[in-house]
Amino acid sequence: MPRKAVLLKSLTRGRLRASMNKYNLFNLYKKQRPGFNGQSLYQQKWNSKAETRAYHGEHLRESKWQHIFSPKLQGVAQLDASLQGGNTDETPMMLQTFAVLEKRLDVALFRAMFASSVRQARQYIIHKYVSVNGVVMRHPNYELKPGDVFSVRPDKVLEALGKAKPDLKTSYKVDQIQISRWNKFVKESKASPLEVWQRQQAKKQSRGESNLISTDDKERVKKIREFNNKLQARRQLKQQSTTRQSILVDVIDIVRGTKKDITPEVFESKFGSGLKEKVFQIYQTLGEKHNLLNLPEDENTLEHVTKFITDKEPIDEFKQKRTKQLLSEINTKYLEHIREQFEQSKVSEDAKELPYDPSWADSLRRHKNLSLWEEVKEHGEKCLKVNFPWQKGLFGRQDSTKAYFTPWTPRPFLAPFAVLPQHLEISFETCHAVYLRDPVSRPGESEVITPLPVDVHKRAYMWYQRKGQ
Amino acid sequence: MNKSPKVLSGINLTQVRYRRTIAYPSYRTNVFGRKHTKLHKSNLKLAMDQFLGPKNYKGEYYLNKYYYVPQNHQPNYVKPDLERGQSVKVTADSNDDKEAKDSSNFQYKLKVSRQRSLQPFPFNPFCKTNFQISKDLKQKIARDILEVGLSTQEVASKYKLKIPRIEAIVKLYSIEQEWKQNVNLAKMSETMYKMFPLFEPHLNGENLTEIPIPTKTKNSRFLTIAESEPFGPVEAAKVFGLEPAAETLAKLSEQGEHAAHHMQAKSTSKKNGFLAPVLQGEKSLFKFVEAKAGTVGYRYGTCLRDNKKDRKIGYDASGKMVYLL
Repeated sequence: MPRKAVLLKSLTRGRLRASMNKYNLFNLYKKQRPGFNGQSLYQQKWNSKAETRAYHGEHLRESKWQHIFSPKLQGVAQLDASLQGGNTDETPMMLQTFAVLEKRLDVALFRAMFASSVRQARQYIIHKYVSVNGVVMRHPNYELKPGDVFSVRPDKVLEALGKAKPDLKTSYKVDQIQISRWNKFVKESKASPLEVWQRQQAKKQSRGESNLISTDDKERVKKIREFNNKLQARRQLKQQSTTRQSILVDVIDIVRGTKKDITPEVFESKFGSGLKEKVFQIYQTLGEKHNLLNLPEDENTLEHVTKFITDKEPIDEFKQKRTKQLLSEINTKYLEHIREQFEQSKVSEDAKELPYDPSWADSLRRHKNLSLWEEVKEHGEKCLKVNFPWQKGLFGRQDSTKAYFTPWTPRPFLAPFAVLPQHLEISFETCHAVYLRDPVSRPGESEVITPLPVDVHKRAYMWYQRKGQ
Repeated sequence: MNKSPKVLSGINLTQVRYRRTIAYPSYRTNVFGRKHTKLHKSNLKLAMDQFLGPKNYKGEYYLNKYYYVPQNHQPNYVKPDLERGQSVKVTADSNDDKEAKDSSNFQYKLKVSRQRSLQPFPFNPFCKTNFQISKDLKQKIARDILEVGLSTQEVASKYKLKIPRIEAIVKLYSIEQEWKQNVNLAKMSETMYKMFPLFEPHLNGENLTEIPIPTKTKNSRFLTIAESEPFGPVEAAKVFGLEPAAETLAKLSEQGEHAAHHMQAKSTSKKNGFLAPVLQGEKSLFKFVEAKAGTVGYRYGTCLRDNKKDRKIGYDASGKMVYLL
């Protein structure tokens, strides 16, 4: 039987535990260095014992631990120490006080990060999720020997290291907020795509992220090709829709949009420097006061243009003929101009950044609102369809049969507790690990993972050297 | 008469056997003032809220420096003493490095952070996280041993890794080859891979000359010798009855199935045995092998230690616990 788990994460007590719990993290963060000023030797030993035992084998009863305890501490000598010269570091032998515990299967499982606490590791073992050398081992006190391979069922490791799965109500609420924010964003970016794009770039920069497409080369090339393909498709569409009429419409639009005097330079941005003179000639041929150039805003320009060009009995035959001739000349060159322009805007495959794409917001779609909570309660979560670019399925419940947050996300505050042990070789791909050796101490380093300093361990050792036999 | 047992004629007889001291933070925190009387939160919980920082609508403590995992092969361990309890970033976009650069003692901080970056616990400088073998190196090692056929000793000196670790890498590599990947597991292993520093042989190679400290040398031994008699490590080893360290090291390196000289050692330790001649009318061929009573069957006269508190235990081939004699 393990010791009863009472007040393990108490903030008032502030003991450190072998656990990845959030409260335990705060206890570690706020911990004051244990001091022994003004304490009798007995008090020092007692307090040290209490501090160390709270972390090492907290789940074991005191009598059990006293049977396990061995006063022989394991250290190594480095034969090349004299060759290196200089002073060698101190060997923290006292940190070996609890080294014997590291042999235990439950502790090794926690050290290999296959469980989020020693107590959870113990539970996994008892529930038959753990094998040693391919045989299911149900005893947490199994002592590993050098070379032993132990493994845990991957689902359980994912559960231990992953974020907790949200309940249906929570994930429904989160998704409601996400939908309203997304729809707002879609509306905004369709209204002013450049502004939103610039804002996003600025945000990326301030976050310290680069605007690079991707650090992975394959990914980068893939994205660039996608971008170029999109450009190509747009080019073809534009070329197909270019006719004499559409060119005349463009000319009329430009003239109407310009407040200043009309010069050939006005047409340069649209038709290029090669064609601007020709386009200007159309304007001159039609004359400033021609009714095509002075159409009211709400009239359909294309209709008037078609009528002007195809009119069998025009008012001014010369104007029509001349315009038609100019348009035909422009048309072929304009198609070539479009092609050139697109060739220029094509991104080379060595590029690091993508240029602004004015049509980036076109593909964004509003998300449908979720059905009412009452309906969800009645029909279950299957009636909820969520599909964001970054999230398929309900928040954290993409695969609701799993016991953890899906798609898998690391648990909160995992980083401070992720310590790669020296005495284990771990493969997270397979959830297997090999026990290399019993942890030892060497000059300047100890393989036993412990948050408490050497002096505390020393006093605890003094306590157990006398008591624990 | 229902007197309180604690107070007797004005003298407090309560003995304080264990005065619990509250584990206050080592840095200054917010404390509830008088206006908060309606709140049933303790000051420590308030300090914890201050440590965690605000939550966003997804339930993430998005401003806390330790909430998300690092993905750049640089561990992120707690440093309350260096940051004086400032565990919360000003904005989600602000960068730790930027803050460090702004402050005047940047050089000092940089120096400290180099030493501290691998140390998970602020009070224990002797505990450091290990270096992870990169995927490339893992493949190289596996290829050297399984395909090229180098011995573990050669690979160990090539990459400066200890022999048991190389054996383990090869073992895990062969398991990985047969493994069926799944999406979540792949994501988990990738995340964990990016959290730990990577091993570089020329920078953080392991010391290959380590031997266990012999137990006999842990105690002092006094010896009277003549003044003119030379006395060095070799003589000391003779006094203790120890073999030279080089021999111990060589023996250690021969362990493991891929080590040079390993197979030879294995083949010499054959059990003595013989096949009995088949007599007329016998249906079976008998083989006799030497065995030790106790390891096979019960030795006559051994006591069953069933009344002992710490009985010796072992495990059978199916993983079941059995009491040993």
